[in-house]
Amino acid sequence: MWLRVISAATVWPRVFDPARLRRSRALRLCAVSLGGLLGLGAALAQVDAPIEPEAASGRQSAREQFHARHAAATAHPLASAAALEILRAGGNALDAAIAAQWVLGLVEPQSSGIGGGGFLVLGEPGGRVRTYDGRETAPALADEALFLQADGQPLPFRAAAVGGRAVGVPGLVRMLAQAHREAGRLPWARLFEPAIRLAQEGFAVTPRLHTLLGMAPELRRDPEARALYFQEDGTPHPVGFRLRNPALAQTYRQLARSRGEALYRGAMAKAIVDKVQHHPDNPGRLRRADLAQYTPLAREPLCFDWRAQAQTYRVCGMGLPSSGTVTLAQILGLLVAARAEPQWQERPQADWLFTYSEIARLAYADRAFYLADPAFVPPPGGRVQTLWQPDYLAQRARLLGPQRLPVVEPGQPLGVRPPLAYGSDSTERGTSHLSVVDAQGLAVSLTSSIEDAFGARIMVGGFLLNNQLTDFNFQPRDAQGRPSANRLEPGKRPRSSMAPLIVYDAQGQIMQVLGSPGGALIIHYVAKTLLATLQAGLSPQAAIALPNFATVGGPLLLETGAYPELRAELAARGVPLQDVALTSGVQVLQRVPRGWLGASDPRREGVVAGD
Amino acid sequence: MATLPFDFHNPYAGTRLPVMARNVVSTSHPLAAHAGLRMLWQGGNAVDAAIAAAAAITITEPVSCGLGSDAFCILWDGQQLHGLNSSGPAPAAWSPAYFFRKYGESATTPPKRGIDSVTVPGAVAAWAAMSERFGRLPFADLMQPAIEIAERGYLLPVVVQQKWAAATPELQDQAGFAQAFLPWGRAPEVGERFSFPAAARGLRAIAATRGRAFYEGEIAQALVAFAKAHGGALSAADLAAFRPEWVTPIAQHYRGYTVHEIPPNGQGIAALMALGMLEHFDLASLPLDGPDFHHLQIEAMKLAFADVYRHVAEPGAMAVSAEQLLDPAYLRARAGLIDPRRAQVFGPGNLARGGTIYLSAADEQGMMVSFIQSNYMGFGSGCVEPHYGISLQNRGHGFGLRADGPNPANVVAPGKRPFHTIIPAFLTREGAPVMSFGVMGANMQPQGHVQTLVRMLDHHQQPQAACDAPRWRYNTGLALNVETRFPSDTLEALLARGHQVEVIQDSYQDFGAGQFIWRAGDPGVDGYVAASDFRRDGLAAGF
Repeated sequence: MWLRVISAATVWPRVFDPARLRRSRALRLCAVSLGGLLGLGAALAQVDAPIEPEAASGRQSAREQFHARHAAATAHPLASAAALEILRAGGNALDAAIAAQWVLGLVEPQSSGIGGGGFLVLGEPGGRVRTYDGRETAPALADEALFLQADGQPLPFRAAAVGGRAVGVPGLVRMLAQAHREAGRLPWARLFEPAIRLAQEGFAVTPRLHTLLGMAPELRRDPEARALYFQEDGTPHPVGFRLRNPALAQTYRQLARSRGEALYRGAMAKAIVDKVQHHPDNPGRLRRADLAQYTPLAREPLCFDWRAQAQTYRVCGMGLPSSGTVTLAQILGLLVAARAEPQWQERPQADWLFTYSEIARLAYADRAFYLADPAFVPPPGGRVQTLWQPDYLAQRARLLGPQRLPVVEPGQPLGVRPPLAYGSDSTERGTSHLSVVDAQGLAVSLTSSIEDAFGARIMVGGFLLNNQLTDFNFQPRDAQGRPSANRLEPGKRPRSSMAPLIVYDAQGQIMQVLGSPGGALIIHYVAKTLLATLQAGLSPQAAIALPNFATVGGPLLLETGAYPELRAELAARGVPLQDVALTSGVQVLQRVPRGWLGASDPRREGVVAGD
Repeated sequence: MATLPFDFHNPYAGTRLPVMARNVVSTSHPLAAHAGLRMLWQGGNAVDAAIAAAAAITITEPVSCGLGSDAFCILWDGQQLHGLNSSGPAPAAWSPAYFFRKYGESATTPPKRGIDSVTVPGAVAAWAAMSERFGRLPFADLMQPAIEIAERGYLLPVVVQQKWAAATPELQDQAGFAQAFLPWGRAPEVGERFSFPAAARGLRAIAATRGRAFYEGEIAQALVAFAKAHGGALSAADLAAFRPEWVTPIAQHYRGYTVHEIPPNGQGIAALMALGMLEHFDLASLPLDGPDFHHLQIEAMKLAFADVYRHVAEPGAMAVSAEQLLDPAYLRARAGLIDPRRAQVFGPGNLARGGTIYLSAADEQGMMVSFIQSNYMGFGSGCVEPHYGISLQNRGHGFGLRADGPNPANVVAPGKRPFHTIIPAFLTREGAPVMSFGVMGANMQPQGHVQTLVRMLDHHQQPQAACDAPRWRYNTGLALNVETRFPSDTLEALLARGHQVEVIQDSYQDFGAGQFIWRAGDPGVDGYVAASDFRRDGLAAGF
C-alpha cells in the first residue's frame, strides 16, 4: 500500500504538473473518438431493463481547463457558452447557471428542461449555503397504486413511464424563479436571450443527441416531437443538422415576460394538462390546480464533515427528498469507520474496491428503507443526521467481513425498526448537472432532470414533460401491508439521488463544485470524484476519467471492460460483477491557487468555459 | 344559559383556539391586547380597553397604523348601536389644480407617498370622542400602556418584522422615516428591541390634553411646521377645524341577523350589498368549501365592488345614495346577473342620479366595541413628524383628480373626505348585539366580512374556524387570488368556470387579518367567544 503524502499547498500528485495544463479561453467542440464507441454496444444490449437512464454514445477526448476569474462546466458546449456570455455581461453564477439551463433544455432535451425538476445549491464565499428544491410533486388525484396493474403486480417500467401517467408537476421553473428573486443580479428576462437565439437560429445536432433519438421510438408517437426531431422517413435528423425549435423560443419568451408563471397558469398550463389527460395510450391525472399550487422550497442545506488526507472538508448539498447527500455521507463515513483510505496508485485496488462495494450495499439498504419526502415521512429521529452518527456507522462497519455479506438489511439508528416496508429501488434517469463559479466567489451547483431519456415522451410548447413519478416505489406496500417510505402520495415529492454539491475547506473557502447525472448511481460518481481528487490527489480530469464502479445492493457494476486486474480477487471474495456502460456526466470545478480548474466528463459532450 | 349556534370542530390547520371569557380584547398584537386588559382590570369598560389597545398598537404595529392614522368605530353601549367616522378631510389648500401644478397634468391621483398624500389624521380625535362620551376611566389612564411601551420598547414579532423589512426600501428616504423606524440604519430584525421615545412624548401631550394637543396645541404646531418644511399643505386651521362625526350605521339583513357597517365615505356598504345579493341563494345547502360555495360569493362581491368603486365617496358628493345601493329590489336584480357556471366581469349597475389594524373589545356589562385604525398603505405616507413621533397616513392617495375618472364623486376638494377602505362591522339579531368583528386589509375587508359571515351564519363554523379557513381575494377583472391552503378540487372547479386563479405563494400578500367577538348570551354570565387571526401576530385575551 502506497500512502500518498500530500502537502498543504496542493492536492495534486507528483505526476501531475500544472505547468503542462493547456490554458484556453476558447471553447472547443470535441470529436468523438473511435475507441469510445465501444460503450455503445453494451448499452444497446440493455434496452428493456436499464440500470441507466441514458445510454452511452461514445467518449470524447477532453482536457481540463484553468480559468482565473469565472468558469462554467456543463454538459454541452452551447450551454457553457451561454453561461460565459452571461458572466461576461455582469451576471453572477446564478444568472449564468439559469441561462445555461435554458440552453440545455434545448440542446440536451433528453436530460432536463422546463418540463421537469431539479435541485440547486448556492454557495457564498463566506460559507453560507442555500438550497432550493424544485422537485416535481405527485398530482392531487394520484394515489399509491398508480403503477400497479389490476392483479397487484407493478407495471413494467416503459408502460409506466411513457405517456401521461407518470408526469409530475414540473418544479424547475418556479424554483429557479425563486432563487433568482433572492440571489440573481441580471434581469430575469435577460437570462433567456441565449436560449431564445439558439432556438430561433438553430443548433447543430450532436452525435449524442442523434444516437439517443435513434433509440427512442416512443418519441415518434408524439406528433410535436416527431415533427421536430425526425425526418420524413422516421429516422432522426443527422449529426450536424441545424435544428430549430421555434415553439420553445416562444415558450421561453413567455416565461421571460411572466417570471416563469406562464408555465403554471393560463394557456400553457392548460396545454400541458390536456396532453397529459388525453394521452392516447397512458393518460395521467395532472390538473391545472396542481400546477397553480406548486410551491418550490428553500430548504436548509445538508452538510457533513469529511476528513481526507489530514484535512477536514465540509461537504454541502441537498437534503431530503434527495438521498444524494445522505447516502454519500454514509458511504464516506463508513469508509473512515472501516479505515479504508483509498489505496490507489493511479486507480483503486481490489481490497479497497471490495470494501467500498460492501459499504455501498449497507448505505443503499438504509436509503431504500428510510429516505423519502420529509414532509410525508420523517427521517429516523426527525433528523437525517442520525444515519451517520459515529456510533451508528461503527455498528454498521462491524458487519463487514473478508467475504461478501450474503444479505444486507437496513440498520436501526434508533435501535427500533419503524413499521415501514423495504421499498424496492427504482432508479432515476435522464438528468444533467452544471457547476458555475463567478469572480466574486459565488458558486452554483445545479442538477436537473426529466427522469427517463426524453422523459414521458410528451412534447408541449417545444419542451418535453417529465416522468418523474416513476421515482416512487411502484409497489407501495409489502405483503404485511406495511407502507414503504417512498410510496406515492398526493402532493409528495419522489425520492431523488441527485447530488449537486459544494465542498468547503476548513477555512470556509469553496474547494469544489460538482455533481453528475446517472440515476441512483449518481452517488457513486460523485463519491469517486471526491475520493480521487481530495483523498488520492488526482487532478479533476484524471479523477473523472477513472473507470466507474457502482452498486445499488446487488452485483458490483463495473464500467464495461474496466479493472480487469481486480476481477479475480473480487470474485474470490464472493462479489458478483456486471459490466455496464455507466455513463456518468460529472462536471467539476476545483479551486486552485489563483483560479479554478474545471473538468467535464468525456462520457457526455460537456466542456468547461471561462475566463 | 349560552346557546351558541356553532360546530366547535375546526377543520383547518391553524394555531389558535377560540377564547371564552366575560371580558375580552382581540387584537393583532399581544401587547395591545394586554393594554386593553389592563384597563378592564382597573375597572374600565370595553371602550376604555379599545382606546388603550388602539394607542398601544400605534407603537407596536407601525407597519399598519400610527399616531397619524384615521379611525372608525361601531359600538354597542349596552342599549344601542353608535357609529363613529373619524376619517380626516383634505386640507383646505387641496384641489385638482394643486396636484396638477405639482405633479403634472397627467396625474390621476394624489401621490402614494410623501407629505402630499396626508389628509387630516382622525384617530386621536376618535379616542378622545369615544372616551368622553362612553368611557369610564380618565383619558390619561388610557394612554399609559402605550407610553410605557414606547419608552420601554418591545421585541419585534415575526409578521410585523416582515412587513417592516419589505416596506423599508420604498420609504427610507421619506421625511422622518429613517429617524423613526430605521434606528440602526436598517429595519429591525425579529426579536430586536424597538423603542419610540418621540411617540412617547407625543402620547404624553395627548394624554395631558385629552387629544387637543394634536389638533390645537404643541403637536399641531409641530405638524404644521413639518408639513411646511417639506412642501405640504396641511395648515393649523385644517387641524383645528376637525371634528369626528357620530353616524347611524347602515344595515343589511342576512339569515335572520342584521349586519351593520359605517356608511360612506367608507366601503363597508360593499359587504352589505354582497350579502343582500347572497340572501337570494341557499348557501347553507352548498357543500362547505366547494366551488359553488365560493363562486357565488365571488360573483356577488364583484357586483358590489363594481358599484362601490364607481359611486362611493364623501356622502355629500355621491350621485347615488346608500339607500339606493341597498335597495332590495336593486340587489335582487343584481343577484340575477350571477351565472353559477361561469366567472364574469361586471360593470356598475343602472342607478338613478348619489394599512390597518382592527381590534375588538367587550366587557361583562355588555358593552362591545368594534374599532379600526389605519395608516392606509402600510406605514402610510412614510412621513414621520420627528419630535412627537407622528407617523402620517397616506389616505389622500384614495382621492381621484379627474372628473372623467372611474369615480367622479371622489375627486379631491378642500375639506372633503376621501373614499375610505377601513370598515369596522357589527352583527345584531332582532335588535340585540351578537358580534363585533372586522377583517382588515384594504379591499380585502368587505370580502373578508362576507366570507367569514357566510361561514358562521350559513355553515355554523365557530369564529376561529371561520377565520382560519383559506380565503380568496378579488382584485379586478377575472383575476382571483387564493391562499395556498385552498382545496385542490375547488381550485380546479373554479378554473373550469373561468376564474383566473392565482395561488399566492408570497406570504407578504394580504388576505386580511380578522378579530371576532361573539356574544354567547348574558355577558356577565355566558360571556363571549373570541377569535384572533393567525395571519398576524395577535391574540384574543380575556378573563
